Amino acid sequence: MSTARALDVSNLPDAVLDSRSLVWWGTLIMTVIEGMVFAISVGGYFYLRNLASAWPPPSVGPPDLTAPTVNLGILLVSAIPAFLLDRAGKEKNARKVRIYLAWNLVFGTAFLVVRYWEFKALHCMWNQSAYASIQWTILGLHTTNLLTSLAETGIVLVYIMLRPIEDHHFLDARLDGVFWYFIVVTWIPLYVVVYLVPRFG
Amino acid sequence: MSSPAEKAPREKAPGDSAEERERAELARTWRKRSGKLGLLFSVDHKTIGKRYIITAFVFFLVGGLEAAAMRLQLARPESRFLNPDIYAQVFTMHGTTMMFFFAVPVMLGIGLYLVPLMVGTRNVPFPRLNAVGYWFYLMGGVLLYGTFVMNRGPDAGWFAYVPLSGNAYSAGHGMDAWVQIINFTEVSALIVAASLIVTVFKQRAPGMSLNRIPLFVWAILITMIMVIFAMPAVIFAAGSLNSDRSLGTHFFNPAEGGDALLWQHAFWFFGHPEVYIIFLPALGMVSSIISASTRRPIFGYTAMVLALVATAFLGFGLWVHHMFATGLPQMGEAFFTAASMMIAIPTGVQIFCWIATLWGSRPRWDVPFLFVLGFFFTFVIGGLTGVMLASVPVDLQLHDTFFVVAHFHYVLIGGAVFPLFGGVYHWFPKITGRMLGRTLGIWNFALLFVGFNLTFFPMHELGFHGMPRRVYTYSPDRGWNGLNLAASLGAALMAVAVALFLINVFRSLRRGARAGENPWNAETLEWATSSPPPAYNFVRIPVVASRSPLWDREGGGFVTGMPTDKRLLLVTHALDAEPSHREEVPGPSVNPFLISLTMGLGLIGSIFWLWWAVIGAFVSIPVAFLWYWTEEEP
Repeated sequence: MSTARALDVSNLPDAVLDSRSLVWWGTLIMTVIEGMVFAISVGGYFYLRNLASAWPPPSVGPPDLTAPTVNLGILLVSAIPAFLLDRAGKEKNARKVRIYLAWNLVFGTAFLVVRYWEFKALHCMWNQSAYASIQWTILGLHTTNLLTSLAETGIVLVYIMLRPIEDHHFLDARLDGVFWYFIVVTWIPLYVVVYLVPRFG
Repeated sequence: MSSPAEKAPREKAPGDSAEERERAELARTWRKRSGKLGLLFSVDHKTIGKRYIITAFVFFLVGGLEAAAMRLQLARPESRFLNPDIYAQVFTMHGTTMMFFFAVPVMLGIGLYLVPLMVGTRNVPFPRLNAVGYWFYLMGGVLLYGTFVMNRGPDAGWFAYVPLSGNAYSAGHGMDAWVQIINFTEVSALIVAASLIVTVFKQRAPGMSLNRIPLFVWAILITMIMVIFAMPAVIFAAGSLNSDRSLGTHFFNPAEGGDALLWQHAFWFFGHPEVYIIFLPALGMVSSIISASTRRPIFGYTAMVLALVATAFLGFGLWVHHMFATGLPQMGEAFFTAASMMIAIPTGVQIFCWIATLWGSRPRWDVPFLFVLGFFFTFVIGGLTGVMLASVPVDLQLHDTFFVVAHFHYVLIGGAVFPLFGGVYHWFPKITGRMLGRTLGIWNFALLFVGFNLTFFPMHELGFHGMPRRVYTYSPDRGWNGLNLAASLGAALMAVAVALFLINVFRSLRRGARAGENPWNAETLEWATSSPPPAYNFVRIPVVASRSPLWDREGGGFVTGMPTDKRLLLVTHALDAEPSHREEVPGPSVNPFLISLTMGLGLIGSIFWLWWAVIGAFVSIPVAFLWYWTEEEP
């Protein structure tokens, strides 16, 4: 490097709130990892189903659809506050970010509560058969994701209620919304696998 | 393509005093926490990388001692040195240690140390998360040896096949602990993968477009992407085994609709890519060493990158070749035979590109280059026996014999450990500022090469003669005595070679020749800063105009206008590395250590009582909150 030339970057912004940011990429990788865990579990599901003479086993019977379908509805509607949260973060609107984070928490909690009846709708405990084990696993994995997301939302919400918001908190709020999309989008095929395949498959 | 440097306004480089001021302020901004407790606060990628490397080498020594114990036991027939129970623990510990605690983590560590330097940035994007990765790795290792010392070590082989690893045949907590040990290593590998993928895509020095990334960085990037797609399979496998053992699920219980082969599928869908996760970074090291030794760019850059991508891609389509003896449909086996043989193509492409680079060059015959030559020889043999084993009829004859042991040691030691030693001789000067001794290095290489071949070459023959793996002894009339004795003598030579290596390291740390910035006259950016590099890596972020920035007479340059009073990274666009913005990263903190402790104790507790996992998660919430709360502090 004998001829040293300088590239001036003093005019570049110190923070961005979109897909250029490092944390956005980190979140993307996290969703790929978790998506892959779901994909492998679904692979295990169809592997076991392929071996079974009846799916579900005759002693269990197919799952109920009422609670799961109601909950699917709740989850689909919850994408709206997530979208509004994302937009509020983009606009750097602190008031709206607080409101929609709270709504996100409300919808997430509602979904979590109805999930209890989703587990009951399976009509089996995890230790009854391989069918029951994989059903509980998929439902349990999705619930774990849900709990993590709720904890994260709670932490961000408490923080920005108590401390001044800086730019990167708007980004965190947006990413909270983005991760919620992931929870919604993964649940649609998983709902089909857990509840529709045993009934109609 | 025009580099950003050409578009930028050109100005004269500022004088020394301005540079000195920047250097002083950078040192202040990026300083580490001092004192003994400061060790718990480290977030520097170099510190964490070094910890991975050193810890992994400690495990390498322990795993090596286990190997020596096995060779001592097998040196003569009907030996009583180890009883069968201990022998089963020792080979399980050897495999688990070498795969999960040496080979993968040492590659992660070298990647963590070198990649940010090679792409010209100051730290990884999530330094605190990155620290968590190391603590998890360390806790996993402590747990593994904790169980072993209490004579409750896992004893079902490193791939823990069910039903042997199930409750019925492995009662007690040894296997429960093994499952959690695997979980610790998964988390740590995934964290490093996330850190390095984002580093490579978003933090490259301006001008380092995708087609100018050093081959070593390509190798690490592709490896980390493999980690992302391979680890979920072992998360699923370990989780299912754990719940079968402790919650009464039936994944692997055929009586209730489960299936033992599901374990093998899930484990090898991870386990085969794992081999490439170890092997690809080693290929990157070979490229770095060859280009530095010949002072030439590697021939066929694009072909090399595509070969790495093809190897990774095919690596996910091979797992069933570990299961040829399980009676799967022949059509399916044929597919995996084809895929297993195909992997020889991209590997061959790389070998030929290296030969083309060497052709007519006058390489510097230094220790790293010797190890690369050793790699060529041993790895090609391992590759050829791999092509043999890919054939189902051959595999059925040789399955679970010492031929397989010989094959995968040729691939793993030949393909990964030889380049790794070469890499240590190559980068030790950068990491420590001192050269490793040359004479001891040559002895280290020669004894390792002879010892390795003496140990493992006879095992091919033992396999042909029908000696099975994992037997603790054999009767004297089988005709295996001489070859086993030869293998054990070879193992002794390998032990001497490793001892010489250690002596060399400890001597050179104190008395080695000073290295200077670029002792090999190599071309990549890690050689553009002092040895060892300062906490902030570069006083000024370099600007890159070619694949070999340090060999450029024209082009290149540096970045100005980066404030030095905050821990700022320069973020660039993923494809062309045009500057995008600046981003602040957090500094030293104890929170990564604390959260590793709360979550780790939860996982360890869950071996004995499942609710500990839940307790660990809940206790971690306040720590996570503290983490988020203090992110603002420098």
